[in-house]
This record gives sequence, structure tokens and C-alpha cells, in this order.
Amino acid sequence: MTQVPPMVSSSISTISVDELVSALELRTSWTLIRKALKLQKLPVGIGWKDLKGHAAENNAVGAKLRVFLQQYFEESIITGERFVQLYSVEKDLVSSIVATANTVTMPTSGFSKKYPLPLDVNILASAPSDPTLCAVRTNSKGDISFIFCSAGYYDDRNSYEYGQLSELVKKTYGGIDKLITVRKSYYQAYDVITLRVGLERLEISVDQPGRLGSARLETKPMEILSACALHIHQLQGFGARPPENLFAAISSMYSAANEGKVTALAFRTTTGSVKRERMTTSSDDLRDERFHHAGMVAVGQDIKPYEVEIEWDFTLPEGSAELKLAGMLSQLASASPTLHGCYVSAHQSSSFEKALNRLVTYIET
Amino acid sequence: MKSPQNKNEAVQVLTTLWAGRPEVDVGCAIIEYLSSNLDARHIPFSQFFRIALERKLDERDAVLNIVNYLSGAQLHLLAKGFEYIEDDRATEIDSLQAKAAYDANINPLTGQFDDAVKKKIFVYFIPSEVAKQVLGSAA
Repeated sequence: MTQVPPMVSSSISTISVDELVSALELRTSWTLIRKALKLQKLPVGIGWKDLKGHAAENNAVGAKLRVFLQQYFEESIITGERFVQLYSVEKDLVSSIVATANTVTMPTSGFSKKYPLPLDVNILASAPSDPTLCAVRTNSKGDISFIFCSAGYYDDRNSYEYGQLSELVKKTYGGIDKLITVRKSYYQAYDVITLRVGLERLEISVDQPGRLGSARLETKPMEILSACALHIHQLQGFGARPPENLFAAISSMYSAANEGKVTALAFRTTTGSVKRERMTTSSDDLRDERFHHAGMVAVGQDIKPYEVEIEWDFTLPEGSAELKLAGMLSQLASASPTLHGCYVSAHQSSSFEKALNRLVTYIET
Repeated sequence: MKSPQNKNEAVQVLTTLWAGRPEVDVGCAIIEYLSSNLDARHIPFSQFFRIALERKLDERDAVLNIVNYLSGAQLHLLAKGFEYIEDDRATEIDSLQAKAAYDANINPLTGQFDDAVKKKIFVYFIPSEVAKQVLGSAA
């Protein structure tokens, strides 16, 4: 089947190959883009540097690759590796938000000049750390995505043995055995709030959660929601609602034999152990693995899962997605186990949405 | 030479080719192990050394030779795979990713230069489709 390519905005089509690949390298996973390149039968290359070389080639493959990278970058602004919280929204509120979204004026900010590209790393340190509205995007179904940029950082740690230190450092810090340095590495986050109009659902989607510590990840969704409420007044006070509780889906999705492919599972048994299992072969489903299967038979299928990872390969359009529901072991002891977010990894917006749609069918209401 | 149709014939081919060498005993022990583990999805290289040692065959070179032979075109009982292991997490990678790591120090997960990447790439084996057919057949 011929896949209809998504629109590429004119601002992206004017970006040079060098800038485009550098921007992708800064914010997307090599594993995801490699998979997408293979799917499109485009030259994969052995790494980012090689990819840049292929994309700069002055031939038909180079031209096709450049269009692919532009589309990939456009999609990556709202997809990639994300932490997502879901809210169901009443129909009247959906209509009201859509009406307001159509009147939003885009503010000028430190990010505006280079958007959709990220700011240079040396400028990012002084860029706003609060989510700042940079674009509002509407897809073919009428779903609206509010895109917020912010400067974030993660700690890059290095350790040096005593012998590696300069004489000056040895003298300054006399008596030390090892020096551990922490350098702040800055990056531009593209956080998103998407309103699924037909599904009456709102998604708060935190970009690159792996770069945030657990404390920052906990507060980030509310920061994004508050930033959105500055432009969409209907969302003022919306944060008082709890996000959808996803905990029950962990067990239900694992138990649904045909629901994607389980790649990892953490669970408690009634025989006095806690187990973590992960497949290392990409083509197999943990549910069918011989060791796991025998264990399940031995305990009469009675386990209490608290973490699960599932992968899907989708068709129409072709794509793939990974979903991780990471509950806490302690929640199994709770009268009402709770999980207020999930991790989604997908390079296409269609696959990203499909993974969430599959999850929603398992939420207890 | 006629392709072996069952385990006995596979052993015979190996014994004839490596006659008088320690590879025969090691090879036969590995074929025996494969016959009992045809649904294995991951056999680390170390398993073959263990099999040899269990039979008091302390023949490191012979193990390397025979594993190489069993992975080759003539018998092709072993299929090879690669994985990237870091922080207790193993990820399956393809041969192009393994080659990029060995030749150019490219990390298969980040696509970036990583001068320590070679220490994180490991080879493993699984019984090939030929092994499932040949070793699964009655003599």
C-alpha cells in the first residue's frame, strides 16, 4: 500500500541537511530513526554522521532521504519517547477548548526565532526553563496539539582516578582518591498537550522523560498544563482532576494474549517472590517464553503484575510503538492501586495515538 | 559430500573431516547438546567451553574451531546473533550494528561514537533451521 506522506511545513523544508540531522540527533532516539529508515528501505548508515553524509548526496536517494528526514523531524516534535498522562474531557469542554484554540495568538519568545529547530546549546542555558507555547498544530482528524518548548538539563557525570588528575588539582584537593565531576547538559524539550477531539481525551505528553529525574517528572505535567491554561482559559483549575488511573491495565493487558507483544514484566507471586523478566529477542512474546510459561502453570496463573512493557507493529499506516506501564510494587498492597502515567515510544503520530488507544480500552472507569 | 539428514549422519560428516583431532570430541558433545536444546533462543559462547570442560576436554582452540565450523556453510547447525549489553540490559542488534561497533566504535543504541562500545557487544548462538531439521530427525 502506498503511504500518504504527512505534510511538511514550509519552515522545515528550508532547513539545511546539516541543521536537520543535528536537530534530530539532539532530540530523537537513534534506535527509532534506524527502524523507520529500514521500514522505508532508505540507507540506514552506521550512525548519525553517516546519515548526514547520505542525506547530503546529490542523487535520487539523497533527495528521498531528505524528504523523509523533514517529515520525521516534523513528527518528532509531538512523538518520540514520552511520558503521557491521560484525561477524559466532556464533549462541551472539548468544543469550548477547540473554539479558544482557534483564536490563540502565538507569543514571541526566546524559542520563536529558531523554532521548529532547537536553540544552540550555548544559548539554551539562558533560555526559559518554563514551558513556552511555540505552536498549535491541528491534524487531519481535527485533533489539536499545543507545543511548548523549554530548556532542560541533565547531569553528565564523569569520574577521574587520582592518577588522571593534573598536579594543580591534586594540590588543590589534597588527600582525595577520585574526582567526580557533574556537568549540566542542556537540551530543548518539546512538551505537548494534545486534545483528541473525537475521543474526548486530553493527553499531557512530557518529552524525553529519561532526561528528567523522578522528582522533575512528577511536577512537569502540571507545569505544562499551567502553561497551556495561560492561553486556554478553560484549562484553569483543570489540574485539580486526577489523570486516568492506569494501574488495572497492567494486569489486563498482560492477560490479553493477543494484545501486542509483551517484552518485559515485573510481578509478585503468591509463593513469596518478586520477579522481573525481560525478553532479549525482539521477535518473541514473553507470554510464550518457555521458562515464563512453566512458571505461570506452576502457580496456577496467579501472579500480580505491577509493571509491563508491550510492543505493537501496526498496519495502515505501517508503524510500531512501545508502551511501558511502570507501577510501584508497593501499590499492590494498596486498597486502590494507582498509576497516573505511562511511557510511550513511537516515531509516527499515528502509532503513538494507536498505542494510547489500545491502552484506553483497558482502563477501568 | 551429501548433506546429513539426521544426527548420526551429521556426526559422521564431522568425524570424517576432523579425524584424529580434539575437535571431534568437542564437536560431538556440542551436537549432542544442540539435539537436546533445539528450541534454545540464546546460547552464549561460554556454554560451549562449559560443555567441553564437563567432558574433560580442555581444548580452547578446538572449541573455537568447531564452533566456527558448525556455524559455517557445510553443516550450518549454529546460527549467530549479536547483542549489546549495558547495565544489566541486553538488546538484540543486527550484524551491521555489530560491524559498525567493531569497525568504527559506533554505539548501536545512540548512533554516536563510543570508544568503549566493543566491550558491550557480545555474540551468541541459536540452533539453526538446518539443526532443527537434521538433529530433530530420527536416525
